Amino acid sequence: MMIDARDSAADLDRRADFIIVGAGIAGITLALELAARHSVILLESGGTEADRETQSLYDGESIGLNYSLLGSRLRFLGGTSNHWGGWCGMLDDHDFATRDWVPHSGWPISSAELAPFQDKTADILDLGSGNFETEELVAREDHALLVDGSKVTHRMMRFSNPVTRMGEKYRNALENTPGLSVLLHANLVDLRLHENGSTVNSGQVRTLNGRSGRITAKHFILACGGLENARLLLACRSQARAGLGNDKGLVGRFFMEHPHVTAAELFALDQSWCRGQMALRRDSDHWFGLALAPTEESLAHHRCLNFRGQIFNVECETDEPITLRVMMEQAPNPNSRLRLSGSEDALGLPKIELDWRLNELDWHGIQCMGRLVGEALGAQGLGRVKLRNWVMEQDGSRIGFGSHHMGTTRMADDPAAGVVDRNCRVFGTSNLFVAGSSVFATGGAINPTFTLTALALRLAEHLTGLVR
Amino acid sequence: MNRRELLKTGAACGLLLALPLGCQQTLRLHDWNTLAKWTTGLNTDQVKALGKSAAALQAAPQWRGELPDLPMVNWLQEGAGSAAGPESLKHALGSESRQQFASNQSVILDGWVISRLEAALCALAVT
Repeated sequence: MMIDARDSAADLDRRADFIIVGAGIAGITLALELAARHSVILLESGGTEADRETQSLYDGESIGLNYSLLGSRLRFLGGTSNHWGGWCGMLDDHDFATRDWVPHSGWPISSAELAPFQDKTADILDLGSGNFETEELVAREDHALLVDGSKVTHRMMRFSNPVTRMGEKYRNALENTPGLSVLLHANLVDLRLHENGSTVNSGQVRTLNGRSGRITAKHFILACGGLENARLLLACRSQARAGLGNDKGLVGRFFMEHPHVTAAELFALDQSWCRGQMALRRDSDHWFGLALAPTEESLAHHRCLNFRGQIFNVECETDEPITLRVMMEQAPNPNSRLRLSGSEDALGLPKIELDWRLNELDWHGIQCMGRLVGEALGAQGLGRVKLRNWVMEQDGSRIGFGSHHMGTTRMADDPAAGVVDRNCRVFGTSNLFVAGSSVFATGGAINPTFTLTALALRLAEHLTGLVR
Repeated sequence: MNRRELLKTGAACGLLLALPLGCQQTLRLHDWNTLAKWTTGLNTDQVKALGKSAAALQAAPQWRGELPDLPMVNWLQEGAGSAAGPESLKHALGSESRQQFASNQSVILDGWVISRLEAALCALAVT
């Protein structure tokens, strides 16, 4: 059932097996999985449509690279899926590995641990297929590939069709699944610990029209997005001075995006190969595209960061350079971070101050991308690549973002290196979990939606095992 | 282009010596600019701009004493008459350049990703 928490008749003192905070992609995925066997309360700050007052709770200050805290997120049922572009891909296997040239790299889990959830994730996100292997599809003549794969290869992007708006698509399920209660316009403002200091007992809920309540559960899951998860942990200071899970001062650090850069021009020496590479391709009733990506070997040789170069869906005109749009991996960086600012939102919660930064390795990564694509084209006599001047001058004002918020509650095996463990449990707590891309230890160079959805399914399986 | 890349680019000049004899002899029939254009696919202005940048780097005081052997270049320029045609030379230069790209022997010069051989040819085109 769905309940408007602003309604004076709505009881806000509630109990369930699980309380999930945030009804976006991760939150709704978890809620529907867990509600099959357990009682679940799903808290959503907004309603079923966007409204200015609720959206303003996302307001904050960006003091680093240009970033929009309001424009990159949506705060109503379905969350940021409401303006999602539908792009999906899988992290590469080597994205999970520790790389000696990338400080703080390495996940405590491997890609194999997400593989069992691949097909179901594809169903949830309407991808048509969870198969991202290119060999079979590109064997077809109309799917011919550009490069030989020694330096640069291809990775597949699939597109959600129709683009999944989680609030719309799953509205009926959210309303009618037994055991599931969705509280709309309900904001979590604090979590209270048992006297043992590690078990979360209850959460304080407030509405913008002044109502409040106390929710209790066996397990709490924050699924508010890559920025808000960290903000809430930091803001829960009533019993933990530095915030929950922040004994090591890591909550909010390691904020990562995918720097979106129009970084280079590609000059084709031979136009004949060019046109066929530009188009989106069709697989049944869904679309996919092939992005240029570095091989694991070339990344290691040049000590680069991962990237996806998107040359599909752009023009290929004779004698005109082709613009190379690239989504870069950002290196994990403790100084790229969010903090709580001195000002508060309408609910009395401190706002975010975001300091998004790139470091030398990130700039090297952008140049290295140009080198690898240039070498791949040059080795086949297909063309040359020219990096734009601003790349050489490291002009940060030219860096774009993808609204991919990652890393602020990163996953690690060691509490000194992360905020959550391999099962997404917040270190130092027994029953507080985090879902979403804030747990990413590294972000690879692919849109995070597919991975965070698979992680949510994995977390649901883990949590179900805990209360069985 | 850093110091290490510069030295390797100098060595790329030496690679010209490894071209087939007929090709070496053909070099005198073509100016460096033409050879650079053949190999890179860039136009005259682009080759000149790249050549100036490469030459400026090579002329920097800190690199003196570590430059490629200039008599070698002179020998190339003063080579004997050609038995091979321009297509053969073009093919040989292109092949060598592709091989360099394949074996990570590229440099980034003014944003251009070019092979070391190409950087050397561009530099020779303006010196």
